[in-house]
Amino acid sequence: MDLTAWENLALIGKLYGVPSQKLRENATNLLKEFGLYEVKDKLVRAFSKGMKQRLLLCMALVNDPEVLFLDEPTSGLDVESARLLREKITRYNKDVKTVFLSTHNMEEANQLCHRIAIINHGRIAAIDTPENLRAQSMDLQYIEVTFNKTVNMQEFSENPSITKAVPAGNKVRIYTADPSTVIEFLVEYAKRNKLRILNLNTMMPSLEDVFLKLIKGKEAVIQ
Amino acid sequence: MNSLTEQFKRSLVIAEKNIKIYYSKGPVIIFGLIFPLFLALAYVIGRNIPLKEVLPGLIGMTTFFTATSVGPSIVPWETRSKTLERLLCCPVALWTIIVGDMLSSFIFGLIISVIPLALTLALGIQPLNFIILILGLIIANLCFAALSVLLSAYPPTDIPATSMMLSSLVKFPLVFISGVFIPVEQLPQWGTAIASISPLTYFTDMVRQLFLNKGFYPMALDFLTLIAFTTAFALAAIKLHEKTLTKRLS
Repeated sequence: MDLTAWENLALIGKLYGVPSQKLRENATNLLKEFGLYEVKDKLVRAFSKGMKQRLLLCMALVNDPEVLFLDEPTSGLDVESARLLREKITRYNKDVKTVFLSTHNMEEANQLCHRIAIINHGRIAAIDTPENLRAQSMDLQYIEVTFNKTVNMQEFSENPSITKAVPAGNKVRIYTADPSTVIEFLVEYAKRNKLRILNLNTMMPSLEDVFLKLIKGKEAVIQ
Repeated sequence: MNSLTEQFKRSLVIAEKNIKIYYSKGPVIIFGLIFPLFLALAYVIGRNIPLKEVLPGLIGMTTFFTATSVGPSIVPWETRSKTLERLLCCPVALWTIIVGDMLSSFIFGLIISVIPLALTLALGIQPLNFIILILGLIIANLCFAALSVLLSAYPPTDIPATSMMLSSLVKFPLVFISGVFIPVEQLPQWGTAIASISPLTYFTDMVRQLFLNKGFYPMALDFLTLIAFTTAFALAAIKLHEKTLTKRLS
């Protein structure tokens, strides 16, 4: 905080034993790449949170590491800075470097990670690709349907293909492992009750749903 | 051996960082410059003693206060700003950081203690042996710097003011028992015994011998004791910081 951006990079580079010429090159390139070169001689305490996070990433990269550990790198950042950091992390990863990312942001994990480990009370509850994790929880997929009138959901819960039906605003959210059978049932139901279907979407389980299922159990997710 | 050299180089990098950050901090300027200056003025002005007589105490006190002014604040400050965690994520051992902190405190003490010495020489007061005086200044500054870093180890606080205040509680009594104001040979037997536990006693005694040609301990004993104190303070600082690190970071 009491050093300039350049001094911070130089400090970390020297502590990692980066040769001075290489250090100057790396620091210059990183500061330019992360849009901090113009402010390299300013004290970090005057930086915004986004600038500080970008500088921290520069400091992590200044010794050109093979493996990068990042702890919630976009936490508390504005949209633009968060997007920039995600782009840089993706690009770094494409350069055949490994990134370990810890985050509470499921969407970020979904976007950035090839493999995700879900940790509960310090133990890995599941580890797989985002797609496979979602596939393990297909019972969490649901159909969101909007009718032109309010409906009685008693009939939905009697259907064996429906796990649970819950109201969600003016929509009905129907959890099922067999969406096609349920869609046929809904069309049939609408005809029988002279209703019009205004909107119908099949939703795949999100990583957030998978996370909650693994941590708290399926019922907690559906509730 | 190679690893030791590498770690020592990193200690120098940490010392360089500390110099940039901490030398200009308010508490360091107050405790390391302003306070010893005013104490020195209070010590000299209005006393009907030749300057040469008060010089050993003056150099001893100034060196002690300046060399111990940086050390107590670094670790608490770094804990608070989370930079200690960041340093520990780098390939540096905790002892490397501690040695870096000692070095920055040592350099500050050495630079500032040259001022009264230069003033002395400018006034035409010559020591018996200039090289021994410089060696004495170096070992004394190292010793006091190690003590100052030890004083920052406990309690594992992240409030620099707490650490500075507690270190003052140790520093002031040490000044009063160390023959700065009354030479050790003029103290009663119990006073001499108490004085012997303070590292400042041996430095003041050494300077008295070099300027006044009178002292209580043999010069070699002054040197050896200061080296022993330095080693003990440095090892204790590393051990105690290692022990309190988890609490400090939690």
